[in-house]
Amino acid sequence: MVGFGYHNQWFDRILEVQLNEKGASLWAPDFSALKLTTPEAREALQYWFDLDKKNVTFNPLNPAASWPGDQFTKSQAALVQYGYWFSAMAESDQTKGNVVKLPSPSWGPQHKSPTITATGHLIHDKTKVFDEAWKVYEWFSAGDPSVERAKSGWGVPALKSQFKLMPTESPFQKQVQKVLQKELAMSDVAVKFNPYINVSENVSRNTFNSAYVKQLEAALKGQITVDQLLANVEKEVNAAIKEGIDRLK
Amino acid sequence: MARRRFRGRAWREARSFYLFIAPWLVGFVLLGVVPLLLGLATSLTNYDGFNLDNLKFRGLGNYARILEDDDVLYSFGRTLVFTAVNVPLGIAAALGLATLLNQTVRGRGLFRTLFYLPHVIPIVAVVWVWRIFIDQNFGILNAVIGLVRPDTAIRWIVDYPTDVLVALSLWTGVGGGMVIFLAGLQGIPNELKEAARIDGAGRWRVFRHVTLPLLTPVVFFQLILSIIGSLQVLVAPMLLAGTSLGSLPPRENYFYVVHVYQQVFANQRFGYGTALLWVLFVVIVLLSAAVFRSARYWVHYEVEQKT
Repeated sequence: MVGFGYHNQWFDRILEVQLNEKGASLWAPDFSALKLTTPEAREALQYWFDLDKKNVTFNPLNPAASWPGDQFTKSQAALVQYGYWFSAMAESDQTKGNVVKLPSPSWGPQHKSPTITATGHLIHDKTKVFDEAWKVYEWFSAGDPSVERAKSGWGVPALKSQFKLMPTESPFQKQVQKVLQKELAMSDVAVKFNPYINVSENVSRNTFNSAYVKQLEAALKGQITVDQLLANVEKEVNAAIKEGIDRLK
Repeated sequence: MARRRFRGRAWREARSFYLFIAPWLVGFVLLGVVPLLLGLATSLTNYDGFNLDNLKFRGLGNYARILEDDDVLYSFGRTLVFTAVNVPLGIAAALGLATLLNQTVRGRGLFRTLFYLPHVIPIVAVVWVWRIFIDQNFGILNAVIGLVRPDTAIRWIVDYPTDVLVALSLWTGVGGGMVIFLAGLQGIPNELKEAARIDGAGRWRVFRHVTLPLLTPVVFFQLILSIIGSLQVLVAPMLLAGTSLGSLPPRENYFYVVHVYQQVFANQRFGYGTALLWVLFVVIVLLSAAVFRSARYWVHYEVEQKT
């Protein structure tokens, strides 16, 4: 059981938003390196490490039985860090009437609330059926399926014209909308992802997150210091970035 | 004339032979040999899953890298530990169960079904159930222990990851082994056991000196399969891993193929990953050859084997 559950599949982007709020970034401007030893990165990572060390949150030595959202709806986690979409499932039989949506946390003077994950589509530039692909895209993103999605509350609609379709019947949904409208004003910024490494939402397939989790276990067990953790992650990720750049040359 | 007839029959037999094995042969070439060779070719490049337009030949660079990678030795060591525990335990448990369920007892069919059932449940479902079962805070296991030792909160996945994995492997694998051993046990002629009993042998001596020797070909088969399966363990430790789905296994369960998965999917090192797999392939071939070689000293066939 934990007080606070965050989705560690998104750790790289959560961290990047934190640093962006202080005008810093995880990455060198040309993405050629990971910068974990800057004062800003050190401070942010120390914050997460302390949460892990105190078992305030799930970590390799205090694992979750499933995922934080599931544990929240079972009243096994007090606070979870999710966006608007989670409001569609936050009220379960166990939590109904006791759930509230908080504004996004702020780490620095420039409060930002960008989208860190979303559902999208790609059309290959070499496709021979561009018009047909575009029709499917239009239908899914602006047709009936998108209307259904907007009405269900599973994610902020991509189209502003569909904002009015978001559910506002229950007291919780009304409260969520108030918070959401303020967040939307801060959401028009993009998170930077390093193009040379894997940024999958699966921890074991994400270059940064997998390196971090591996070193975190050793640090939580006291086998390495936090500084060694940062240095090891930086070394591992930078080697992958270098190879990524080399592959594109 | 007779010679020509003989040659005709031999040709027809050969044709039938090749026609009958053709489906397997085609499958083996397309799904076995070709991927193996493609893997070998990939292991000599810097392939990352996308860069077909910009592929570079690395020679033996990926193989040389293995020698500098500390995680290779560590993960291989952990894999050997898991194999050394899992293989004998699995074979002993399957043989024990098969021996018990080969007796004429009431409900034998039901027990055989119950023990075999975990073997046919998909591994994802099995691990998910186990995660809930052994959860530190809400798991049934700690709750049951808590009945005699209140406030039990054993961190099974954190403190005993390999033990949990071995237990899970036994739970899922023992049923399959049991069925094969049962088939072996039922193939042993009763007359041999009766003759031993008439000669004054007790249950244990009949098992030790009649049943077990005649079962050694089945033990041999199980041994080979278990060694290969244990050396390739991947899915269960990945799914059993900590903080969320797709997380990394605890360090103790960081096995060789987990490391390969990491290299391929987290770091996009398809070339290096396939080099690691080729090394594992060679290790498996060598170990299998060693077991085959040892077979002449402990495997008893009812018919004489040509060596």
